[in-house]
Amino acid sequence: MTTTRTRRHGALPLLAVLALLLGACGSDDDGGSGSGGGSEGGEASGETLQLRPQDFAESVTLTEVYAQFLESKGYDTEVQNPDGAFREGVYPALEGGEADIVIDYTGSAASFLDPEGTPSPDAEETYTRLTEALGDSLEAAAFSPAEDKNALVVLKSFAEENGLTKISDLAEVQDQVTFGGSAQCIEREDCLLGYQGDTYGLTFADVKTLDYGPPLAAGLESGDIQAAQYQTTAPEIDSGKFVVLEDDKGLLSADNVVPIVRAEVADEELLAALDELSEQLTTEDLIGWNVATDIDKEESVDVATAWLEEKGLL
Amino acid sequence: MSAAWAVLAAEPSNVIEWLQDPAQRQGSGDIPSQLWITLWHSLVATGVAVVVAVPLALVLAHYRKAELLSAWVVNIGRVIPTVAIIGVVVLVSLRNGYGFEPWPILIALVAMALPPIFANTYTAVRGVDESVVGAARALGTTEASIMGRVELPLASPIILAGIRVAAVQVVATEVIGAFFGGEGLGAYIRQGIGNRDIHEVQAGALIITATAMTLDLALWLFTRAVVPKGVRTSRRPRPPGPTTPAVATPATTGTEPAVLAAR
Repeated sequence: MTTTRTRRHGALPLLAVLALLLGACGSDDDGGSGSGGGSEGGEASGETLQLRPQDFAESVTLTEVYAQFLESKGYDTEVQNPDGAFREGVYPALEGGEADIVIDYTGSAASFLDPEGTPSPDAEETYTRLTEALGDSLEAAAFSPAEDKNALVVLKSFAEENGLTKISDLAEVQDQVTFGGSAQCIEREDCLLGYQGDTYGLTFADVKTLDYGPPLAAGLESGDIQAAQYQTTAPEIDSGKFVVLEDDKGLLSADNVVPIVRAEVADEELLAALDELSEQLTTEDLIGWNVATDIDKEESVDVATAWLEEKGLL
Repeated sequence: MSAAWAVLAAEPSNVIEWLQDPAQRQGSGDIPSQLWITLWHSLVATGVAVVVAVPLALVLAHYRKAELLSAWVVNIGRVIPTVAIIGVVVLVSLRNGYGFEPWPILIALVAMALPPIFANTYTAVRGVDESVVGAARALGTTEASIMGRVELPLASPIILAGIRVAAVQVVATEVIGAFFGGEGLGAYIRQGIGNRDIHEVQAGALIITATAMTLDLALWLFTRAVVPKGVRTSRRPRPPGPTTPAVATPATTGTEPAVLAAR
């Protein structure tokens, strides 16, 4: 008696959950599209260009900007749902033909595709490294001057008190510096291992491991962390509270915005259209978008449209 | 989702290799020191929760007060995710100069341990046979003595079961501290996920599970040692149907005056 009731009772919620899951899957195909037109048919059919962002606001906004710009050039585009994935989800989709275009960053993409390669602070060298790592099935359009690279930031007041302008200046005050960086950063040569090892030879008093987010910013402001790994496009940098220390020994890789296109769809015309947009983007634009999406909580689609209209590109 | 499958599908032999090779723990620290951090966080948090919840629930249940309130408090505590609690507390802690560790993780864990301990204690004391309490009262026993020497020992199996449940959950949840500027066994999960090292995540999960299970066993042995013989429930067959510790009826067969040594 009890078991029968439990079983029957158990089946209903299960069905409800299944229905929800199926519903969610079904809506994925058009879920992330903000650019209207031509969203029928989830697969890359050759007609509609499929753009796949990574799952963070800047990537989604960037992808929207490129998609809407291509729309204005007469292409049908669709921005796919990132589904919580980063490069490990984006590149298989690109190689499997589910996605056609990914807007990535030169240095990070090169390191992902070719982890053995040596990162370089030079934008051209990094681009060359990327094109070599891409292979035959993928092609890179020209890189943009806009850059989202790793940066070591300190509180402005801490920099002023100790006369810090570049990373090697930290040697003077290293015994009072607690470093804050992500789980990736503390195991990477172009991050903590480079600050502490061969390149800069610093010895920090302590290391706190935490991802970029409110606690990291709060830790810097409270003085529990003195130096933290950030991105050059972090909205907090726009607030004027932090300063980026100059990478005087060239540890941090260049990381310019670059569209990566599936070779099958990468004709001259498309690459030219992408280049036309890329050359107009700046790092300040990226910061501005991130302030809009992360702090003012605006939607990436709207931020992209507003920027393109402002630049007269729509 | 696919990441979860990859974790499950990875070969166990690589996990053993990971465990045997300390060089792989460069970013996450050695196992004994991380184990020690997790253990002391867990024990302090559970201890504080016991000291707060058990006396409070005992007195409230004895006087039959706050029936609704207790249900409410317990549900609130279960509804708020511990990750949300630590996320908020860590910001408050930083802004007030208390730093990343250890206050945020301890507060989050205490908040998590309170509900099961409070609920079990309240339900157990509430369920002590009225006639036993009445008999004690008829003999002239004070209310405080009834609580301490009659109700508490009779309710002790279920109270201790609640503490065990709480302690195991606390150890498993202490992992989140490593994601908010702290250290502990969660560091292996954090570094493993961050650097896409599935074996490190698996090894971390194994260590945490083993720690929680060892603590569970230790507390079970402790329970056997301190619960008065006549009150033990473990050897009696359970009534059919689903039972949880929180709603099980305490055994009231022990009539000899039993004194709970601990606490």
